[in-house]
Amino acid sequence: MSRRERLAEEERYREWKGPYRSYDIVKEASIALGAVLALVLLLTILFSSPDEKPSTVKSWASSMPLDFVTTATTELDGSSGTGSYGPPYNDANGSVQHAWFLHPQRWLGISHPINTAQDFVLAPLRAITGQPALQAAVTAYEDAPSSQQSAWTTAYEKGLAGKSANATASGTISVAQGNYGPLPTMMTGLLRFAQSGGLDGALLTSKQFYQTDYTKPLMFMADGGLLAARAQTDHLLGDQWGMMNETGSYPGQVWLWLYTFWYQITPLQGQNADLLVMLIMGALSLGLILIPFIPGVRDVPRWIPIYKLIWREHYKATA
Amino acid sequence: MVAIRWLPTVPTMLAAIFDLNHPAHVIHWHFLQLSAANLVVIILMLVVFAAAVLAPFPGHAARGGSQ
Amino acid sequence: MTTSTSSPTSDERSWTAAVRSRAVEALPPEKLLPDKQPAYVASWIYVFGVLSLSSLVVIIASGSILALKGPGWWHFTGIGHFFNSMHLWAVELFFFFMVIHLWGKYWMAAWRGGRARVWITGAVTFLIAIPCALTGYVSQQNFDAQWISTQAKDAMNAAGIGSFFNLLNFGQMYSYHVLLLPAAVVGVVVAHILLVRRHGVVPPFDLQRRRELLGANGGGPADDGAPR
Repeated sequence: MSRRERLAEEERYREWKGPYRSYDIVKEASIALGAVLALVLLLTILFSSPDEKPSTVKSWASSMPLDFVTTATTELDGSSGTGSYGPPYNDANGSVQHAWFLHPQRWLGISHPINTAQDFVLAPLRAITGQPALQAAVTAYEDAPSSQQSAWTTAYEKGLAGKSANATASGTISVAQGNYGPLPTMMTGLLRFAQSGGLDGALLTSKQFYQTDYTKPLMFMADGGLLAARAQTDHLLGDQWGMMNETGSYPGQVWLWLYTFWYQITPLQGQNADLLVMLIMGALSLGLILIPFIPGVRDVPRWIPIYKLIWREHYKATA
Repeated sequence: MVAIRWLPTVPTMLAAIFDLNHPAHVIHWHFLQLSAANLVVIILMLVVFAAAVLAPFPGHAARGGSQ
Repeated sequence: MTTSTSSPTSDERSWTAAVRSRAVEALPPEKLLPDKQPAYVASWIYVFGVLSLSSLVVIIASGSILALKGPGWWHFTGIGHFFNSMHLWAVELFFFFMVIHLWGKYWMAAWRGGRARVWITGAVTFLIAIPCALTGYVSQQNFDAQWISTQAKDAMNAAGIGSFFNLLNFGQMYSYHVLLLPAAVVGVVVAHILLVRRHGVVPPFDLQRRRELLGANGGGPADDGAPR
């Protein structure tokens, strides 16, 4: 269709000059509202809604104590997911993404600073009173040169990964012999603090009394294995197309099908997957908005005439 | 607020008729993985769309009268 | 051609009079609340717009009850859980009906005849509804919220959005979900509906005219499949 023909057609479709029939818009809206309300009530009565209780640092430390201690040690030396993340938390580069010349993660900078050693381990330990041996261990750690600190944490992480390593719900950690410095004392203290529920509060109210920002406890938990273990049971992992799913057997977010689809494509997997998917979906979203102006895409309805079914009565009447 | 207070006391958890709080049944097809519930929703959408387009609409005859 | 609603003595430069006359010209009462519609509106596909709108009303009503009692209420009472369920199912229905409405409008090429803005506002509504739902999911204060927020944060951070939109910050997410994003959705939906009322429902493809055109040109593909 030429541009002139298209413009002429635009004018022709602007206003309907044919027959009308009576129509009650208020009645239609009222019936629709009633029908939807009835349907929502029916679905609610039949199925209710999911509400799986949240995990806490306490439940994590109690049910997976070895995982908790291992994670806490990696927070101390900054090798955890959060510790090595990069912006907006710190200036590492473990999770920094870019696409060609686009580095938005770096450009927007460190807006939510987290020092994992301080925030997740040392500061909470310093808040524990009445345990002079524990405080002495923390002081010994803080006073040691960073090379010594690394040596201790690396050795401890190796020990915790060993076959004989174990930790209990009552706060006992057992690892093979090794040169761990003050870490066993520190980690035992932190484990027991977490199992008592104190660490949940300490992570949340570190800045001020009133808090609504759960960044620290959530980042700490996400560095460990508890959330992922629960997610796997509920088919919420990325490679389970989890973005579309809901806990239990409830329908989820079906409209996210194309977002999660790209993550399943091998060329898009890897360090920069998130940014690439966001860019693709941004472009496609723009495309959706601009369909009226995209040649080809805007013409498909003419080529595949589903409209002939929709307006069949009109075409019959005017034939 | 007052209306809610005047409601008769209800048990803490109103049990649903169908309890969906168990791990989902997942359908695998090549690299696709869909939960049963989501598959039902997608199929329903296609069926409802087709039904909406194909089903006869009552009172369709133009009763004349121009604008 | 305005119906004169201003008195002969009103100031010609009155902004109020200008806005009023433009509004009434664009949307006179019989367009805003019509009691007739084109005869070709005779398909069930046409009800999905009003069904989407009705779902949105139920979302806002149930959401308002949840907001009245605060974010923790629904975890501890049966009636609270009931309203949470209504809110969730209304959201599922909203997306269900809205996507079918989108499909219908696409296959009708409903942007024709100067209606591009109707399509655009509809698409933008869909695209704002998605983050609105996301902020709702991360405001649930349960395991689902914990998982979704810790996972989706990576996509936000990678795009730089995470620096000012922190999914792990419940207070921020709740504010977006209860006020900012619903206001945006409602604003765009109102614009969408007013544009539909202003421009009318798109007429059918004119097969008769197409046949005449193609017959007159004597060639070219019949892209609407009309026989010659």
